[in-house]
Amino acid sequence: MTVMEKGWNRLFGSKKKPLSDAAAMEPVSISEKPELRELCRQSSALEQFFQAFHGQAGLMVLDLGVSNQENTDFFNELGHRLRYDNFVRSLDESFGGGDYYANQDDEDRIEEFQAKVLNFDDDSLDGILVWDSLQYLSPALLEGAVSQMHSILHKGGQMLTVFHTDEKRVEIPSYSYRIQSHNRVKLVSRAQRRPAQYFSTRSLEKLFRNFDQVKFFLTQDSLREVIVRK
Amino acid sequence: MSTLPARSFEPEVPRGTATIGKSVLIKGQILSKEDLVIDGNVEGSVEAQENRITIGPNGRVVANVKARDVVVLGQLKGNIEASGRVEIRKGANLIGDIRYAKISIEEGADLRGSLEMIRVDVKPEPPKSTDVPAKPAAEKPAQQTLSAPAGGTGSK
Repeated sequence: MTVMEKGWNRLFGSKKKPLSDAAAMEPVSISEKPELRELCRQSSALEQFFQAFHGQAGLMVLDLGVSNQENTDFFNELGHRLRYDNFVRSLDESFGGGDYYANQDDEDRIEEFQAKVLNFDDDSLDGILVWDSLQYLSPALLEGAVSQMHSILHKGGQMLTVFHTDEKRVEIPSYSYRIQSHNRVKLVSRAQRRPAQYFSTRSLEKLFRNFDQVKFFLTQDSLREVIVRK
Repeated sequence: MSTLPARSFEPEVPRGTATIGKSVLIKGQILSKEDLVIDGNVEGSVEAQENRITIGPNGRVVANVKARDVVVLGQLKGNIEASGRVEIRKGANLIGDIRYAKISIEEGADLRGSLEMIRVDVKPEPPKSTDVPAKPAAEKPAQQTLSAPAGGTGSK
């Protein structure tokens, strides 16, 4: 176990739960008011994301995470425009109550969700910070959301996504991502949630097949960062 | 266990501040020349170009808000334009676009919309003129005053 893994386990715990059918049927569990825990680390994907911004100003970036002071200040200093759209919260509002993932097949709820999020003109965004939110979408909803993200990005625009790599975990930590610099990010734990599915490298390549480029960055904290370029 | 009733948050209302109470509903245009606290329901538009607008924790506002400073603790559906500072406090729920000179976002605030910073051009200081005669000491006692332009960013 590396020093970083030890540090991570000390902060976030390394408890793995066995996968069972009963657990798989449970609705999403969100720990109530989890203790605010955080870890700051280097992010190669973030570095790659900002490399494309070099020498430019006034770009429009969509952050699908929770609004926070750090990201706001960072983009202000770069002279870019930031838009927040709390994607996971919108998911919870539209599909919460009962079986979270079964609700994601309900056409009325899907319509309500689609009216709330990713409502942008085609080719209108220069970048999307998706963070870890795609992990909580059922396969059918996921395809539609990624297709919409592809449409609203400019040609050459990038998306940064994060996926948990530990397929044995029934619940995975959900984080708020705070940008500290062009290559450092602070992860603040928010809740434990059950993902819709496990994403392998192969399944991610398939998911992002319409994008021109897909790059993977493995981190030491059981996360796979992915940069895709339209 | 305490038998005291739970204390509800009451926003501090300094003198010279108008307040819309939590059982009040207003539909229409509000123009204010003093600071304004909205802890009730407002639908329409709210403007206080040279003052501060505070949406209290009970405030439910569906309106575009234009002011020098804007503080949000409750719910706002609409755009904000502030020549000074915007504060999005814990528990606030805001759906709309924000234009600001300065912004602070507290942990636990829910914001959905775009952020655009207003770049304030700093005016160069006028050159010191030696032509202006000094006022007699009797007219101007030993006291220094600082002045800021109306609607300026002195409170930032």
